[in-house]
Parts: sequence; structure tokens; C-alpha cells
Amino acid sequence: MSAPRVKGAGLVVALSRAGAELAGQWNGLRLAMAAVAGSLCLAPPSGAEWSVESHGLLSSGWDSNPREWVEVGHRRGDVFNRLEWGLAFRRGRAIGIDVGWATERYLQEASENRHLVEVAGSYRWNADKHWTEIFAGGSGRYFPQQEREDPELRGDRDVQRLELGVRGARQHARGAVLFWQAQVVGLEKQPLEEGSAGRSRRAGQAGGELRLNWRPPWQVLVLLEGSGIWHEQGAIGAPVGGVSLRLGSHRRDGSLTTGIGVARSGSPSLRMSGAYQRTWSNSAGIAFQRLRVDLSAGVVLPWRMSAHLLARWHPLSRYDDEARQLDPNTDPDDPDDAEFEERNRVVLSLQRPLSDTFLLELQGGWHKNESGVPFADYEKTLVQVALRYGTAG
Amino acid sequence: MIRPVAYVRRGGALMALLAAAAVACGAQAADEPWEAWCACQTALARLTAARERLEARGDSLATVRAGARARGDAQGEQSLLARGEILVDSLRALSAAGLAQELLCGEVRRRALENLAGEIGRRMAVAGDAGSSAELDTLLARRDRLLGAPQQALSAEFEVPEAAEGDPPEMLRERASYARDLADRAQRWLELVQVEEQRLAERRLMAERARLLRDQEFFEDPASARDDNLGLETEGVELRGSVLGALISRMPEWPAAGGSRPERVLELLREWLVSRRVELMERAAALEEQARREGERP
Repeated sequence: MSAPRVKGAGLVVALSRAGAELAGQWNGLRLAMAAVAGSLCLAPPSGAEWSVESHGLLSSGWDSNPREWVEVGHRRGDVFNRLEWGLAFRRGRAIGIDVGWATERYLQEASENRHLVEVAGSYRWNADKHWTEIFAGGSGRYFPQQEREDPELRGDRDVQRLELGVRGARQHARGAVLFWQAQVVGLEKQPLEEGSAGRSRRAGQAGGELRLNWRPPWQVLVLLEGSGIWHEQGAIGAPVGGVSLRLGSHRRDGSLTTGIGVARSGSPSLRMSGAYQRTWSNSAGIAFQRLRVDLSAGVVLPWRMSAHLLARWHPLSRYDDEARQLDPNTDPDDPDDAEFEERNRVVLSLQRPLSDTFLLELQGGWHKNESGVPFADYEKTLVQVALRYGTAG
Repeated sequence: MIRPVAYVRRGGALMALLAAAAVACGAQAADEPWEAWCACQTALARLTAARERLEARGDSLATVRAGARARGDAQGEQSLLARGEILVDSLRALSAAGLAQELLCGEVRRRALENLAGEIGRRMAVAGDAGSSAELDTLLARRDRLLGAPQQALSAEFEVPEAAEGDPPEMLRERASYARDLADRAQRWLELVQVEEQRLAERRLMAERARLLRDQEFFEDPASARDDNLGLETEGVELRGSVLGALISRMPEWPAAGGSRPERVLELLREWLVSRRVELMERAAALEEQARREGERP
């Protein structure tokens, strides 16, 4: 085994041990890291050497509403500061390991201070017209215990997410490209209070996107996704006579999404897609539909500046009319009751490199997330000035 | 059970471990201008060799095509012609890449010479009349090698034709026509540069967009909208690419190319091609004018 491979394998073993330590009883991350380590050891030798890139962020901004998603109706703006640091280990175009850590601190709302961590690894098989990649990763969001206002309320908005999957791309005739991905995801959310039901879930997802050349630089996109989600919490039986019963079985949701879109490469760049998503659940006989409209655009401006727009409009989420008639929690005559979990977002960003390493960014965004789920219902506006650092060029 | 504080502490330990690993792996490339120049020359030699190989392949393709034509194999000839066109495109891109590399080497050479002059001056001031040291000798040898480095062949492809003493009008017109051909070639290379600049802008926008989306997920999505979205990562994927594009994409890996970001390299190439094209057009006009005067002379 060559020296770089030994060095790389050693690094991944160290990473795996640290990752397993980080994961505690989560065998999933151990398995994922072992998969990455195995991939590295089995990797065919190549001339490429390991390279290390680092990136960071220092930002300060204003959050119009940091607490509403914890405390409904609570609206008070606050100043926040963010610090992020990450490393990316690369070996040619085949192996990638990314680790990142970030902290966010509020001036007044100390209970909203949080830490974010992220670990990801991938191995890619490259060919002229296609590539395939296995990937594994974990991310977490942690709120320091000592800064919580109510220690009795476990308040664990802490979330751990693990994923393991495979994805790839293949170029076909006339420049058409098919991207595909399949993954399993585990999301652990602690119960809000001792003894209450957890909100953890496991999901299996698969999907693809076909890009067809239209009139260069324009492309047409065709999207298809399917997923199944297994919830830790129990399912609720379809209400009979206005009474809902908790079922012994766990809640299971399945969904299918299909959509189309257009994309433009170059500057200005554009990507816009519209998709229809239908979800079925064994809980409360619910089935609902969602329209997903996503837009992103970017343009290179004079003086080496660039501007980006991200927008997400996920309206018209509603129960099937039939299910609405049965659900005791909805008023069938109230159209507002038919809508839930609307997720909208508009983000505008202006960026300018200060050097090869540093970049200045001005960002403003509006986020609205309607939900009956605790900690998921909020509306806020954010503005921030950020200094980014990156050695990747 | 989740123990956030412990995880954060362990996370810190993990980051420290990784920072140490980053240092051990040698995150920073050596930035000695001399080493940068050597690396630049090696890369240039590789490009020149690749170009020569491609030219040889083009020659053999032409021979096979002539054979196909002689046999009356129209379909075979057509196929070979298509392959030839692809080869010409690659050759043109490779030549432009070589020229970009050559221009970059020129910049790196200038920086290396400045650096060496300063270093030699400092060492000589310290050594005084005590004679030379081994380090000083090495520096002087490097300076001589830099000064004596031969002019590269690729720039010579755009050498402006000169009128020789006693050239007849026909010869002058031929030289003018050659100058215009070279100017056309410069124009084609400029178009190539424009495509690469567009590709670079596209790549930049894609990288920025991917970072922005990642930030939205990492920082701004407490409701974790990703729960029921697959989040296909379809950006930043490149299956097709020209030789020049491949070269440009490798720019950050170049040692001590400080200030030589890809945009700068393309800018160097574009400026050089524009100036050389203008020069060639002016020379062509001057040669035609001279031919006209010579023709009118009794």
C-alpha cells in the first residue's frame, strides 16, 4: 500500500473513531464511517495525492423573530453572530471527506444559541460519460443545556441526521444527462418532555432528474421522486364519530413527487421547477398534496460581484377533501384550515471576492414555515453581512 | 440518549484532531517562486508533448483518410473527417492552453527573478568580500537559468511576419495574407477564451449557489424541509470539458500561482491575443501598402 493510501486510511480510521465517539449509541454513523473507510482502503491506487481545503464564515446579522418557532406569537428581533469552520479532504476526484462545525449566538435570546456539526464522506467512480458515488454523512444541531431557560423542559430541539446512499449521473445522446440518487435517512429528535413520544423517523428515498438540452444554454428538467417515512410515534386511526384512536402501529407515510422545470447555464443562470407531491399516511387516514415551486437565479456583475436569488414557494398543501371531512381537527367549511405546512422562502445574496481567499457577502432573506408540529411554525426575516474564507478557490 | 454538551466538546476535539491532520498533510503548498517556475515549466512541457502527440495523430488520420478516399470508401472518409474535426478542436484548445501556460510561466518567471534578485542582494550584503557561499552559488545559478530560459515555441505561432530586403510585391502580398491568417487564428483562439470565460462564470455561479443552498439547510431550516425532499445534488457536475477547461479547473492546484486565479490567466491570454491580433492586422495592412507602392514603382 502506498504512503498516501496509508496516510489516507489512517486519517479515516481516526475520523471513524472520532465519528463513532460523536455518535454515541448510534451504530448507523459507525457503519457509515466504516463504509467510507472501507471504500478508501479498497480504492484503486491513483496518482492523485490528498489535498486539504478549509473554509470558514464570520457573520453578523439581524433576526426579526428568533423565538417564534419555540414560543408561538413571540416576536422580538435580535442580533446574531455566526462562526463556521470546515475542512474538506480530497483525493483527486474520487474521495471526499467533509467536516464542519458552526456556532450561532444571539445577543439577547441566549436560549437560541446553538452548535451545528456536519461530517460527510464519499467515494466516486468516474468515467468519461458517467460517474457513481456512494456517500455517508451525519449532521447535528445542539442547544447548550446551560443556556436553556427551562431546565425541566428537555426542550430538545436537538436533532441528529444520518444518511447513507448512492447517487450518480450519466450523459446520454444529444447531451441529455440523468442524475439519480437513492438514500436512507435517520432523523432523531428527542421528545419534548420526559415520557412523551419521540419524533424520530427513518426514511428511504429515491429519485432522479433528467436534463434535456432544449435551445442552448436552455435545458428542460423532468423530476421524479418517491419516499417512505417510518415515524417513531404511533399512528392515529381514522376518526369514527368524532373520536380518534391511537393505533398500536407506527405512523408510516409514503409520497410520490413528479415535476418539470427549466434551467439556463452560464451567466445569468436560472433554475426553476414546479412539482406536484402527493403523500399517503396510515395515520388519521390522511393524504395530502403539495405544490413545490423552486427558483434560483444568479448573475455575474461588474467589479467581480455576483448576485443570487433563491426562492421556494410550496403552497396549496391541503388534505384530500374526503379526509378533511373525517378529520375532527379541521373545519371542512374553513378554507384556511385546509392549508398547512406551507413552506416559503426568498433569499437574496450579493457577493464579492476580496481576494482569492476571502469573500464579502450581503444577504437578506424571508422565511415562512407554517406547521402544526412544535418548533416548525415560524416566520422571520434575516439580514446579515458575512466574511467568507475558503482555500478551494 | 443525546448529550449535547458532551457532543460539542467531542466535536471540538474532533476539529482539533482534523486541524492537526490538515497541518500534517501539508495544507499549504510550497510557495517558493523558483519551485513554482519549475512546476510551470514541467506543466508546459507536458502540454507541448500532448500537443505534439495530437499533431502526430492528426497526420496519421490524414494518411488513413487519403487511403479511404483512394479506395472510394465515402462513408469511412466521412467518419474520419468528423474525427479529424474533433481533433482540430482539441488541438486548438490544447494550443490555447499551452499559450495560457506559457504566459503564466512568464509571470511566474518575472516574480521568481525579482525574488532571486532580492535574495541575492541580501546574501551578498551579508557575505561582503568574504567570497561566495554554496547557497549564494545556487541562487546565482538559478538566476542564470531563468535569464537564459529560451523563448517558448507557442508564442512563435503568432510571430509577426517581417518584410525582407528586396521582397517583390507578390512576396509582400503573400506575407500580408499570412499575417491575416494568423490574425484569424488569434480570433478563433479568442472565441475559445470567451467560451472558457463563460464556463468559468457558470462554474462560479454554480459553486456560490450550492454554498448558498447548503447554508440555508445548515443554518436556516429549523423545520428541516429536507425531511421529505430528496435534495438531489445536480449542481457542480461536469461531464464534458475541453482541454483548456480542464487546465483552468486545475489552476488552484498550481503551486504559488498566487495572483494567477483562473480569471487572471484567461485575462492574460485574452489581452495577449487581442494585442497580437491588432499587431498582425496592422502589419498585414502595412505589407499590402508596401506591396502596392512597390507595384507602382516603375
